[in-house]
Amino acid sequence: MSEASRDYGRRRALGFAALFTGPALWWATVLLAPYALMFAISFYSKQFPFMIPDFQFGNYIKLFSENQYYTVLLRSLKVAFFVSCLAFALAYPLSYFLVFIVRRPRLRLFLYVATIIPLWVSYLLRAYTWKTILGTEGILNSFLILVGLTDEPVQLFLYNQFAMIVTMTYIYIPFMVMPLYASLEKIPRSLIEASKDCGVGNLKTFLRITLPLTVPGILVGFTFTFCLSTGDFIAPQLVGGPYSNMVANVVATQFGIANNWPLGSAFAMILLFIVLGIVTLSDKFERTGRLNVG
Amino acid sequence: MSPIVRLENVTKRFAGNVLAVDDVSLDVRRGEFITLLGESGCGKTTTLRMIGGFETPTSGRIYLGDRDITALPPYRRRVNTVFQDYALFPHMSVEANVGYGLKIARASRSEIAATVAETLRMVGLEDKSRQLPHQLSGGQKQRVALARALVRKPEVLLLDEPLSALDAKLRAAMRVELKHLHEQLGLTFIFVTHDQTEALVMSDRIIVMHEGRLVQDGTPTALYDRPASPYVAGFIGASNMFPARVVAVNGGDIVARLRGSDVRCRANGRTFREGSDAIICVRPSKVAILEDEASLPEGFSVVRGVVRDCLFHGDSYRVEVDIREAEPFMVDVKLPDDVSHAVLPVPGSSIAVAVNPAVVTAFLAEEAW
Repeated sequence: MSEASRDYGRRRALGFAALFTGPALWWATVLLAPYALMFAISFYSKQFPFMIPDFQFGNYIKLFSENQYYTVLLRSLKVAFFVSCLAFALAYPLSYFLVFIVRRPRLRLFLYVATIIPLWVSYLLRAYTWKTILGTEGILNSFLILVGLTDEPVQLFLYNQFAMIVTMTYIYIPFMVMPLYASLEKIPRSLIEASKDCGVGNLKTFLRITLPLTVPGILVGFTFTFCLSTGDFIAPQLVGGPYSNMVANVVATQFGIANNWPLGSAFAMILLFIVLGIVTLSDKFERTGRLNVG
Repeated sequence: MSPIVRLENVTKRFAGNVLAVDDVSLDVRRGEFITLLGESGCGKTTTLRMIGGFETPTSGRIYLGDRDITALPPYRRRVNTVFQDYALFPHMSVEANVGYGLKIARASRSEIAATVAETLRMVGLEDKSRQLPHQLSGGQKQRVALARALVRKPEVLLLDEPLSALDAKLRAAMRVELKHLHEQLGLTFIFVTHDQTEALVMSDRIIVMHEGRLVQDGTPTALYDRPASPYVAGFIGASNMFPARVVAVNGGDIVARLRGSDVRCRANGRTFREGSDAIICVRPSKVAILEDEASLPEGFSVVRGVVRDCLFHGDSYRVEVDIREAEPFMVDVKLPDDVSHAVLPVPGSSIAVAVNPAVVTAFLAEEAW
């Protein structure tokens, strides 16, 4: 190797180090270290008011054996499941409409951006909005009284799981729309035409061609909305009412109020592994799907 | 015999008032191989898509046999399309792609298997039936697309530039194969291309389109020898085309004056007047270098100029002669069997070209380019 090329190699290595040392340090201190710490603490034992370094599975056993904890875990999964399904049911027709029915590209872009733009608004603000819509003095009740459908404000709308699911669906639906829109837009129109050319009508063309080709987008959309809503913490507090605690709320309580970090860490770890499991699984399916699409 | 496909005054205007197809009428005979030829944007693909049912005409009617199919969706027409990008379903095997329409039409499993196998054998892909489209080469995808379109036994097969994505060698082979397939099946083929060679090689009849209009309808030889307009003459094959002034009219013959030479040609039914402008057109392969002025056949004209360049074309040389016009006058010189004895014109030397009046086409200057 010549002197010049060795010099070039050294300078390249230096440049590489200069570029990536910062991000690597950042990643290690604010992501990797806290996770490692939390993972370790989840095995600690608790002797009020202290926690004692230890390696035992008591926290995990407690979470899975005591009704109050695993109910919360199951509720989180159930709410996330409903949110994802509702978001999908609303987002697919919307995306389909945008991609296949709206003909003018500028109008399509405008409508697409309009569905995405709430992401730029503060989460808290958006969650509060639903409080003002669903509350006893809220817009929905005022409307119902105005048109005479009811005399008294209906209390059923707010502070229950229904309100929570509606709010979270509203908040997370852009994460469903984006991948669905992208996967629908990617389908060459000629495939749809070819299907009709083969004598296949609109509905069956959708079921046999369009829908299968959007499976990767559907998976990504479900992964996003499901993972984001299982870990949600604000919607339960704002609009969920008494029986709506989710995993994240319990974790917050264990850390902030009950001062039981080991239990909180263990619960957080369970949530983390559920999310990682879902992401890995959907990534695997998405890859096989992508191979087929070619 | 009544035409299998009939277009009656078909016009297609797209949003934004773009006139894609302008009042096209056309009869396609049963079993014919017909080609819509033109540059991109001439309306040929839109015309094909209207026959396929993917676009609805703004006005006019389309018939398949005796039946008015103008408003029918594509899945109710007994025509099938081979798409330019093949449009194979990426999530289905070759077999499933070809059998797709039959399966949805609820044909029995054994019937589908037999028909699909037979069709794949016809296009030479029987060993690829379980592969997915992304595992195939361009030529193989092309054959699958063809098989999928043929398997439903359409009355008319529509082909939208099916060879344009293939490399030159494969394209040439597929031309011949398509032509043979057409002869063997006796089906009606409507083929769309911008490639004049493709059109000339394969078609029984060529429809030249330009700016949404049908500009000439004829056999490949008719188009080549008797182009209807300067546009067609320029589009199909190489042409020497020059503006000229008519200096003499006697009966069916006229004399057109170029900057340096007078060229005699036939009026071919056009009415020329002395002193009017004309465009003359002659193929480089139909003129010859005049070695000896004394041997000029009776009635032939002579075009004189200076050799500008001599270009090797494999089996011939193209001599470019500067005749003081904007473009050179091109003459194709066939090479003798023994190439080493060929005497080629030297650039810069004077040269005379003999032009037979029968091979010159004269157009009125006001005919569209």
